[in-house]
Amino acid sequence: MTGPWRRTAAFYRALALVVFAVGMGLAAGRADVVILGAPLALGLLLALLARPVRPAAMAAPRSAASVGGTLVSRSTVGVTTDLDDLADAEFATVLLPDTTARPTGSTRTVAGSQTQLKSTLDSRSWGPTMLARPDLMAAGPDGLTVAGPGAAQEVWELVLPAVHATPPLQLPPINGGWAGAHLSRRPGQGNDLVDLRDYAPGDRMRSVHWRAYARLGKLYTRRTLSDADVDLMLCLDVRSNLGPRLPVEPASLIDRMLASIVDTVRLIRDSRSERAGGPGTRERLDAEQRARYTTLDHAVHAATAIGSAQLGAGDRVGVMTVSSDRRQIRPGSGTRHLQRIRYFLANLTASSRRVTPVAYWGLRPGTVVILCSPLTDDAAAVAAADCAARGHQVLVIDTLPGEQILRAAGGNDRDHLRILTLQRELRLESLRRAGIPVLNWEAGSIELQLATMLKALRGRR
Amino acid sequence: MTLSASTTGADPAPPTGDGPSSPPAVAGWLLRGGLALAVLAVVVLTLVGGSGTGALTVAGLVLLAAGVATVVRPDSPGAVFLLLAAMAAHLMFDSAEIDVGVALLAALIAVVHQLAGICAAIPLDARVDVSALRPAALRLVVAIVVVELGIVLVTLIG
Repeated sequence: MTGPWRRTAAFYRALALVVFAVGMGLAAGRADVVILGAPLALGLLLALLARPVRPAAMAAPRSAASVGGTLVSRSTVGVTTDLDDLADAEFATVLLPDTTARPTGSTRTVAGSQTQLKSTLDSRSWGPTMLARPDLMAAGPDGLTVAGPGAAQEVWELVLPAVHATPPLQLPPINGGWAGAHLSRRPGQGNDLVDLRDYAPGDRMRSVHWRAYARLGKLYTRRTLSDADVDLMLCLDVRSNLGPRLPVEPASLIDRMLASIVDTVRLIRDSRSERAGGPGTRERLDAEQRARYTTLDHAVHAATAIGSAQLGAGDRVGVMTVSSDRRQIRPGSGTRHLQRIRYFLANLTASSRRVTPVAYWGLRPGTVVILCSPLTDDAAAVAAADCAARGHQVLVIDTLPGEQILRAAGGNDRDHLRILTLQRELRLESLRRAGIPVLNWEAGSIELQLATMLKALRGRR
Repeated sequence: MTLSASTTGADPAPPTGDGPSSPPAVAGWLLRGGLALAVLAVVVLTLVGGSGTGALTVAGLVLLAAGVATVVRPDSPGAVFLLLAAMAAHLMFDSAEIDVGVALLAALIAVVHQLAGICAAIPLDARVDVSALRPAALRLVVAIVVVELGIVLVTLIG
């Protein structure tokens, strides 16, 4: 049985050259020709003494990568690559998942005595992600023997979506409620002042309006509306995963060489920019990743950000998909609940199932529905309108990366996309006319968009 | 109001810093550059001092082609053709005298052979730790020094 090690051309070359030099030197009676092969012969002898070349008896080198801790998207994590059975190797080349600078990872050649390598990894995506595959090629002295290159085991990890820092949404007044971060329509102990009334025995001293007393010489009591918390249901439309057209991977050797040259030029430009205090490779790669975001990416980012912000404000947040292809997470609160939501989101995939009728969504009365959808068909818009008709407050987060899709589209697709965009605009307009705020996640600052939209709605009434 | 990670529930910022210092390293393509220089030196040294324009031109073309093949694909038979051709050309064109040229060519042949063997096992874009090359460099130096000292001794005695 043959092992993973094999003799290389270098081994046979050394033998051939030594035999040629000695043979020709002796045959021609030329000592100078024998001398030409002398350093080779001595070098070969020393190499064989350093490590014997017996491929069948040499242990197979192995490499394995491990990532510690919970992984979160858009964070840097350490990866440990263990190298085993390198006793017969003088040096080994390993593919490290060092994506901090290069998206393809970096190749490193280390001494055979090295047993562990540490590298850093920028986890830019979310969900189940292949993080590392430390392919290994080991070589004996002078490259006389090699083992590999062999494909190592892939390391897959569930990367949780990152939480974008977003302030809590200031929702319109809620019906009911006792305490919380939102306004309520119910009179009670709260911060939202309605008016002043005459002081009556039994009123709390802290509710007395002292400035009115100073001005008018009479005691007045503040009348306020109660504060409220809400049940919030993040409803994700994952029936399609639309994104910008990705550039075609270079297939031919020339294309790959050109791509490699372009990549190298970019890296040089990045390092220059970084030295001048500008954005570096990491920033460029982040921007490229953002330009490739799909509707699912936007939906997950929006849900994580809003969920985190509202849980921080004391609301109860649940998550579900419009097609109910996964069991929903009922509204809950606290940081553990946020982790539960992030695990749910990290495992989301696009599903082609139809929209479940709103009647079967299991929404409690008064639940605020936040629908994250690209709104590319009528079903999602109808569901949003149905929710509103059932008395729920509805916010729609538009998750379509429209600008990126149009920018990356080819000439033939552009006209077709423009018509689809117009149809979608009409759909969005009909939702706005029904009093449902539609916020664009790609545009950013959804809390400001919501405030502006609510102001406009109030003005219209 | 400034939003902090604790108030927004955002993940903490990734740790910054340079981390542990990395060992001294060279780029893989630098090794290939060294191999190219050694190949060029072998070709030049083999042809210098030779006589006969036609034969030298043919030998030069063969050596150059084999040299290019060695640099582009160090794992190809290019290196063995180059070094065999260099020895054969030396046998044909040069005198039997053991001089500085022979000592240099012997050292360069060993350098080309060893660099080609190492380059064949290291990708161009690899970052090569200097410690990985140290044993090979040490063996090469010992082999060359021993042979060169031998040449000097033989010359002195002879």
